[in-house]
Amino acid sequence: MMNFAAIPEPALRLVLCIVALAVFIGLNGLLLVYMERKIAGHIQRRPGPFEVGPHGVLTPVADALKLVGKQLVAPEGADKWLFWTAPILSFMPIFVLFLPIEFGPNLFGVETNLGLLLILAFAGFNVLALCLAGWGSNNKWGLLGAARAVSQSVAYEIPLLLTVLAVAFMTGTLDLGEITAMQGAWPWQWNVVTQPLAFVIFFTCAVAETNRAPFDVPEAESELTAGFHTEYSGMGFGLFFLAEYAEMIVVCSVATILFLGGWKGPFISGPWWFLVKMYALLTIMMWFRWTYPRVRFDQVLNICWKWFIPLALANLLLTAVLVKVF
Amino acid sequence: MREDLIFSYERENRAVVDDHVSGQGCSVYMDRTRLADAAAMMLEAGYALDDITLLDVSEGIQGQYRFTHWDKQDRVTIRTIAPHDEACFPSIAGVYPGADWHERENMDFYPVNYEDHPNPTPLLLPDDMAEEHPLEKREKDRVSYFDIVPGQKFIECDSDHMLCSCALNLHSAKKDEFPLRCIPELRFKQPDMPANMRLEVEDGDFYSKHFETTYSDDRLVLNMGPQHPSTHGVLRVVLELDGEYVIRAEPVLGYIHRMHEKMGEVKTFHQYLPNMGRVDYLHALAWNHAYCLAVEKLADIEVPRRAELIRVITNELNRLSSHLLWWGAYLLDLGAFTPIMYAFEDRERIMDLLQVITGSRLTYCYFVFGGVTCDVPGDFAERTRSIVHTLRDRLPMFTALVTENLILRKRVEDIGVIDPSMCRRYGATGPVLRGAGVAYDVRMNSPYSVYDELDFEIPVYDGHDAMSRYMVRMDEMAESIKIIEQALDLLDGADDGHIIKKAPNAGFTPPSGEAYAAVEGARGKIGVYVASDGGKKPYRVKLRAPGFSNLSLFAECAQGTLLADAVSILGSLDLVIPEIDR
Amino acid sequence: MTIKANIKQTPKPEAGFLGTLRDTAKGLWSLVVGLGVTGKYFTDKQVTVHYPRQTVKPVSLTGYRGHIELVGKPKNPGTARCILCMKCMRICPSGCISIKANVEKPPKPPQTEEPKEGQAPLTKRPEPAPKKGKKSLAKFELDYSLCSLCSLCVTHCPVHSLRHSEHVYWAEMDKKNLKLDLLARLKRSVEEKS
Repeated sequence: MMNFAAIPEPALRLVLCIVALAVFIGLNGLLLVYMERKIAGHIQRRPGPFEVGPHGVLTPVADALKLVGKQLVAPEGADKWLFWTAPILSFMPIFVLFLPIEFGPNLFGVETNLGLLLILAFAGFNVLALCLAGWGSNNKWGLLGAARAVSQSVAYEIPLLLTVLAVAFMTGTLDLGEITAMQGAWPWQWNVVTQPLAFVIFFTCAVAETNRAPFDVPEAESELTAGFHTEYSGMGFGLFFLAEYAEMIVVCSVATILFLGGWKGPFISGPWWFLVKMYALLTIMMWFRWTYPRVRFDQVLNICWKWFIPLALANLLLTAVLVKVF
Repeated sequence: MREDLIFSYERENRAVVDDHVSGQGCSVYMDRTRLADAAAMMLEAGYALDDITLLDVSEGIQGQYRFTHWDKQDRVTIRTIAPHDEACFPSIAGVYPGADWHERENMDFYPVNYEDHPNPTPLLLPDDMAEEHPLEKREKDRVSYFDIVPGQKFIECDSDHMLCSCALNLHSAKKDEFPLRCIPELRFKQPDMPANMRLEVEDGDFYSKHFETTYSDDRLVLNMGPQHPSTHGVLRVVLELDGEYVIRAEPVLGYIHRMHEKMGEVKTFHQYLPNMGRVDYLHALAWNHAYCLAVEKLADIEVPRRAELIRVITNELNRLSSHLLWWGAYLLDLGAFTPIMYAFEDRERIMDLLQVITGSRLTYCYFVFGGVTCDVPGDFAERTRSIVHTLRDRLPMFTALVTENLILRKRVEDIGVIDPSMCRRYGATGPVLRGAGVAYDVRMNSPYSVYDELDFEIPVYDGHDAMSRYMVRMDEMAESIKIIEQALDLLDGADDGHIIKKAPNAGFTPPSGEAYAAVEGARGKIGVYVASDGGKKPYRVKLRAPGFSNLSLFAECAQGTLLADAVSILGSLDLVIPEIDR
Repeated sequence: MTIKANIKQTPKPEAGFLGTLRDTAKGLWSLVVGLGVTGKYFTDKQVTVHYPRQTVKPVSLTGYRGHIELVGKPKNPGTARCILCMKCMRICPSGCISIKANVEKPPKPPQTEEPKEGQAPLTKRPEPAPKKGKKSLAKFELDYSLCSLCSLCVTHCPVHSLRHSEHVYWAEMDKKNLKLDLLARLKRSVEEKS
């Protein structure tokens, strides 16, 4: 295992990290697309992609090539600047989100004691991107999708933050490395045992925050055709798509670190445990998508404001009291 | 003079009962000036409007307004005639809002006008065809009304029928109060209409004609369709939104209009059969059945019992496949992707089964006049039993996966409230009506075929909402399975394998007359009216599509709902656009 | 009458505080049950047919209506049973069948009738039957691009000379190729068999 902490120069380290992350995001994006389609297929009792490569493993590569090769079309009357800024703005902050995540012992991009805050702050960029995409494409469906995306993302950031705060109260730090360090290898030593409600709320909000079914109202296919990315073609759509999957990886990684002990695991701790836990969470997210109908837009907000925020607040209060008492 | 005869009928408000002859129940002839009052009376008496048919005969254009009562086994047809040079009827859209679309459709097809029609724009035909009327007959092709309906076939009744007596009272009391304001020269132009109305608009589409007048800055006008994932085909709904709330919703039809009714007039009786598989491709056999029943009634053809049983079995299998597809597609509208695949698994088995006997998988053309085209194979009963058993075993899975799902329940409970009064005014039938708590099913109220020998229930739910309509369809699947099993039991010994007694040959000409047959399709009451002048081809074919009436209430039902709910309501109506556009 | 309506109450959310709690609990449990159903099918075997590698079993093709084809005479399978009554051509709603007949001129009176396209109706012919020329099928063409597979021609054929083929996987790139010469097809199929 290469010790990343041993590389002295911060600039070099950052460049290396970003290259490594680009590869990581790209590969994981391809893998997740394949996984999603296979899971969808098997749940629906069909094989899923099967034609390109053995059992269709190369299908995502073919898809990516197709997306890259497609003509980029901007609709007439669209605000070209905003229209093309949006997908880039949606994708670029993803790199920052990955930097503080500790994938393994000393395997992280930037060591910062405010890692959690960095992730939460930069995750907010996505809202802006969706908003610009919907507004810039001069499409009514896009506009409705953007309006939905903004109100949903803004609403769900609150309970997300509150649950994260509960964990931070317990551990007394916002450094992801330290949070991992404070948890043990075995499941009963993880934060999920002490904070089960926070975990459930965090995970549900994460599903909503990444616009995944059953909370995929900004792109609700049967209502808004495709929502904010209705007008995007080729890699414009591809970047949104990749950003969605990358964000899924981020939220699942954060959930893994906060609640499931990060890279620590029984027997031999290491990055593999991190990947196993992260992919388990991703699988559950996909499982949700292929099982449930879509929640109506106002219900999505109601769930957040009337259930998650009060529950998260109560949980936070309880945590604070217990931390103070013990 | 025969030509005077029909007007004398009208003057006397004569009522004729001919249920057995043409299946239209009681026909009341009345003067067109009193139509609106008669309609108001019918609504008060609890009648629902089925359809408005026009018949172009040499005396003029006859309007036939068919009404049904849900509790009484009673059908009433109001007949009124307008001379060709003054083809104008009063509109009854003010009383029965469902008549709006029927009248607009008639204005497309015939050179008639409806006075005081709220919105006289083309419905099914494109705007630039407003001067052409496909169903208008040429002078030499017209026959007298009495060539179609020979007078002696009628059993005339006294005027003690409710409507007849009402009409008589009206006649004596208000004779001069309702002069028809129609001026012959202005046949194609409504005098009081604003400038953006029919024929005066040179350019502009539906939006500019309807929505500009009410447009304001805080409204968003949105075209849902003709290509939209949840309009199930090429339906276009123009929505006026305030935020996500629907202020107005106006369906725009005609994108897949194929003029099936005209095709009926240019093809022979036999040649029209394959068309029936293509009107409603999801429950094609019900249309097969309705048309065959109408022609059999017209020509007095007897159907062997075995054929009747086969018809019932295949029809119910087809209803199952239709409901299964609806179930999947509705869930797709609500955002669940997986159920449609599970529904297709069962649907596939049913289609395999239907393919064995009908030869096709979707657009069936299986029934012929007097029976069915081929008998069922030996192992059919066994296979069918095993397939419906499998389906019955899977129904609880449907319930567990979907019906009881919290998210789904929140999407359908108390959404799209359609009450019985609304159904009556718009003429809604089928699961939409039964979901409104009204026990009306053609199979129960006017049984046809061998349905009255079978023991089954008509599921009715009293909730008026999308959930009720959902539950009705789910229960109907279980009932269809019951029907199929009983009919299979009866099939064994029936008629020694005779599936057709005397097949009409290719040049078959039924006697002149008219016939109306209604069957219960998966979407509601399917009605076929056939008029024959004794020639090789039908003189007039009218198709009453249930989806047409069911969709017409969408505008009222969707008002004030959220966009997502409008999608949910649209799905709960179970639309098949080719059937609506015909 | 044994058909009766069964008016039921639509399931509604329960009223009251306890009812709401119970309902919520049931609702949340239903989400788990839903996951269970899809999870079970995830592990179950697939039901689809991988088309190019697998095809449906021939038994599922019984009764399948492919395009129509001619049926040969039992003793002479290369010639069609067709008696040139033209019923199929007349009844076809889409006019996709075209038939041409060879008329052998009768040996003695040479001008009984001109060999026209199509066939004059039998009833209009005043000549006595023996003078009539012997007809044989020259051409039986099907324009499959028009056919709606309604089976009217098959059911109305008096000598059962038509039937539906089981030609399921037929696809063409060009509309022209959808015109079929059924007589040639019949002869070819006989040759292939022998």
